[in-house]
Amino acid sequence: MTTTKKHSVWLSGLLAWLLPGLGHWMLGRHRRAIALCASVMVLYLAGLFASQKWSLIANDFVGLDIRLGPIHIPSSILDPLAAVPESFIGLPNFIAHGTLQFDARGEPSLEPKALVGGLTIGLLLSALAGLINIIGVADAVTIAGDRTGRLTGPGRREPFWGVLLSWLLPGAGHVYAGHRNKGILVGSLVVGAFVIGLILGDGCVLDRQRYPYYFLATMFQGLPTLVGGVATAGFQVDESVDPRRLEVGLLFVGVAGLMNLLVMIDSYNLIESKNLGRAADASGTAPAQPEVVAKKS
Amino acid sequence: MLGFHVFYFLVISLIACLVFSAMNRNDVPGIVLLGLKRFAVFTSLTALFGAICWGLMEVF
Repeated sequence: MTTTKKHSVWLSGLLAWLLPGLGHWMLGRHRRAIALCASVMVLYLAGLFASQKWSLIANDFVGLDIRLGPIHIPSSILDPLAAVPESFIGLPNFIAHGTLQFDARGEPSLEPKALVGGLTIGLLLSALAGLINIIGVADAVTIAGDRTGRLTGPGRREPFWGVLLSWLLPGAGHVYAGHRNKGILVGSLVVGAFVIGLILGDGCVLDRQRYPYYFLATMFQGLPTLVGGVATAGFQVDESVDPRRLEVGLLFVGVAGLMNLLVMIDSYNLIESKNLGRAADASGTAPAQPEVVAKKS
Repeated sequence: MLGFHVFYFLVISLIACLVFSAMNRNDVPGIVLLGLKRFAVFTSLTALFGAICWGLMEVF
């Protein structure tokens, strides 16, 4: 049985939260630590830059006094939707928001010049950085808690890649997990529903400004939405579009996106079950049998 | 009008039943059989409850 050095699960999680990659560094996963830290920080700083938070922070550090009227920090900058995932990056977030609060109390006047588009993109980028760090924290905790080394050792497939592949192309995560036929079937169903929706809606169903909620659901599949969005970029709803067909088309693309969320979860579950089975096998406990459990239901 | 919606309701229901079955099975024949079984049960019950509700609405 392979055993790894015992690490504190709590400490790993805390360090990974405090600074992206720090937990992995402590666990000896230096390459992963650097990759995680770089990706999270680049996204986070890009988000700060795009939403003009960066200019606020830089102003405070550099000491430039830009007077553009009375101080006004729009509440949207601290939008709770972005602030919640952002809070999963500990230290950089404290520094950024601490600086912002200090700036808000100070005398120098500063008006953020963020455009609505830039602000939205910035909030999304910094929120994405936070979400990636949640995965990083979970990964550090998993590595620290893995007594056998099988759960995180070489030869295992990463559930993260399974989910990412499923998001990019429905069914690809199952192919990655070793279930080729299932992946092809599921992918055909989801993409098929999406294509039927596109055809029924005469290409007008991916209008994110007119149908933002349907578009959010559609975004659970990456490549089909991207390709479909580019292919139908010039399509507009007018009198020639049958409202009945449009309604059903929207339903199809929305349901296809939400079904792909299930497919993503299932691909994660498949890969993780295999890894847990390997770990249980190594530690001598009863191995997980996802295939048998599945057939009973 | 009704036929159009019913047809596409059946199509999306079939797709959803097959995808949901894929959550419980890993073999393709198993997925298809379970999906068809669920589709049959689901559509039968929907048709039954739909008919009852429609009938009640017509009466009252």
